[in-house]
Amino acid sequence: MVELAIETSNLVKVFKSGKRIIRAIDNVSIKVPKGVIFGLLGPNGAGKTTLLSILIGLTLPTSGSGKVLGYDIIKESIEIRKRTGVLPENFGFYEHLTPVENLRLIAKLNDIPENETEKRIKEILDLVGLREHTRKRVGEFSRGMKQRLGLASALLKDPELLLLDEPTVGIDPKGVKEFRDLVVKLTREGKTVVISTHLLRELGSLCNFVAIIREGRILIEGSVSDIINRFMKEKGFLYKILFEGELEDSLLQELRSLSGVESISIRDQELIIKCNTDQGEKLYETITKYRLQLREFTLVKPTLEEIFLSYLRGESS
Amino acid sequence: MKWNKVKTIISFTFSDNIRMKRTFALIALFILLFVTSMRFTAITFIRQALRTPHLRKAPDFSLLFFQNLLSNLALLLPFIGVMFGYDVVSGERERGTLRIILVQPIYRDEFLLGKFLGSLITMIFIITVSMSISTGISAALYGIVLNTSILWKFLLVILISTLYSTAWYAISLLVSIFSRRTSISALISIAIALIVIVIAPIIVTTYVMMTNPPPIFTGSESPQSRQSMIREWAMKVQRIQAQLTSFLPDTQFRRLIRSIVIVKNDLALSELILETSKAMLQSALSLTYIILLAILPLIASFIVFIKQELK
Repeated sequence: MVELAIETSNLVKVFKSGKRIIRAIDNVSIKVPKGVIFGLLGPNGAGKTTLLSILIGLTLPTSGSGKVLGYDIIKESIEIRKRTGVLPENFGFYEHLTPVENLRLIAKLNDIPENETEKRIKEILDLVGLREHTRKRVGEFSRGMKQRLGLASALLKDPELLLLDEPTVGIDPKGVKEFRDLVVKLTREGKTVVISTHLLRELGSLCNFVAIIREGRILIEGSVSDIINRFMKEKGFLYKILFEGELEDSLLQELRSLSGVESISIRDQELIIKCNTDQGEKLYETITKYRLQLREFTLVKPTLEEIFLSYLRGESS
Repeated sequence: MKWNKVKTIISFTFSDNIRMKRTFALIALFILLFVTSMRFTAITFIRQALRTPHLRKAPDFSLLFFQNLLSNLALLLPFIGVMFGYDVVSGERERGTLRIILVQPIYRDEFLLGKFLGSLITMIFIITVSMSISTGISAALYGIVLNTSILWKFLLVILISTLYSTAWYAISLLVSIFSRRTSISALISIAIALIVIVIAPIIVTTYVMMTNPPPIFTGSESPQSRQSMIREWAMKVQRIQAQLTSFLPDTQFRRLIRSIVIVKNDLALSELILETSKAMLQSALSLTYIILLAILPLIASFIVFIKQELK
């Protein structure tokens, strides 16, 4: 049985704003296995930050339940925060202090022994690439440097789980790459990383598990490969075939007559076949039977971004 | 509640406050105000002494010293409280530091208690340092003898002043918990202080004067009866004014300090302690009023902050 880092059941969070009632989280049930990079994907205002806040006990759910690292999100939030490194959205540090002074405060709040603190701070600042800026005040830091310091504060306690809310906002492309490498390294060490983001291009490919959230509701959740397969089953399988030579009419007719084939389009030396089920083997067999010279035969898989946009537009159920 | 977490926040808040320019600005302002006003007090004292040569004993200068101290304290203490209270939560929220702290394993009441105690220590520091320097300067300039009696009263004034500042701190803290922005929190806190300390007494005086105009003389009165009419009117106005302003914290604070200051100076320490205790007991209502003024907003602050949504 897969060990879970996070498990929620029918979480609901309702905010009252005057007479308006906002359902920020609407029956959210997710399962995050240990040791994965889990992407909580959704546009701004989808409820990602509220969900993360509930998971660490900053906000209480209106109803529903959940466990993080085996601890109840309502009754044992302190235990969760002891073991979880959090990079919140729109966070800040004491700007008149140096990064080391800021991290010392975080270390004290996490009961890190004083004799280990300095060594740990040095290691972490090294890891996030801020070692050379220890004498500067945080007020002199760029947005990207502050973001790195935020990551350092989350890593300081050597947590089992990392919850990172929009972690690459304000970081330059080089920084994003370094961040991705760091996250991969952390999961190799056995840590679970949850990334909440709307920047799919930057972080989507990093995740091996995702949940797409819109208006407080989880639209789809699972491993990336599983989600792609489910999406293709719903939207159809697209095969791209590049060939050389003449395409016989009889071959085209036979391809059209195959069960599951929905449409075929031809452009120069390219054949695009859309099927409602996985017909890859049958298509390949038929084409090779006619001795058509193939240059390429691929199943075109949708990107996570395409799936995300399709769900957000409401094109997928 | 874990005491080591509270201690961490206390020491962080105190060291943070001490580094702030506002701490030293407040101390400097207090000393400047005190020394300047002490000069005018001294002039008043000399004039008083000249006008009353028949008095067997010269008026007690230490009493004037405390009166001067009281005027300055009544004006400055609320602002010391406001200065350290208005941005406790709203400032941390605005800068995003509240978020980074509360995602650590710390309860909100531990955080707020640490913030409160850290600020309390800062206020004690400011009040003690500025009062000590001011007293030292006054003692050197005007020859006030710092005997046991004055030092004992001085200690009590520091304690009551800290309590009074704490009341204003607690009010500002509550405002800062409700405010999304520091500027709004500062504005509301200062407005409350100004209304209570400056505007409300002005309104009361204006109202009393309008409803009780001075007596009009017909011309047939003797000079003695005119004098007694004026005295009666002045006493009436003073009485109504005192009744109407008695609900103000400023009045209660002044009443409490005055009750201690007027205790005789030439007493042995044990007697002095007994007499000041009696004086404080007589002003128990004022003391209770100030204690409640500090405690109630503080309790409300804890309740609201713990239950507040923090997305």
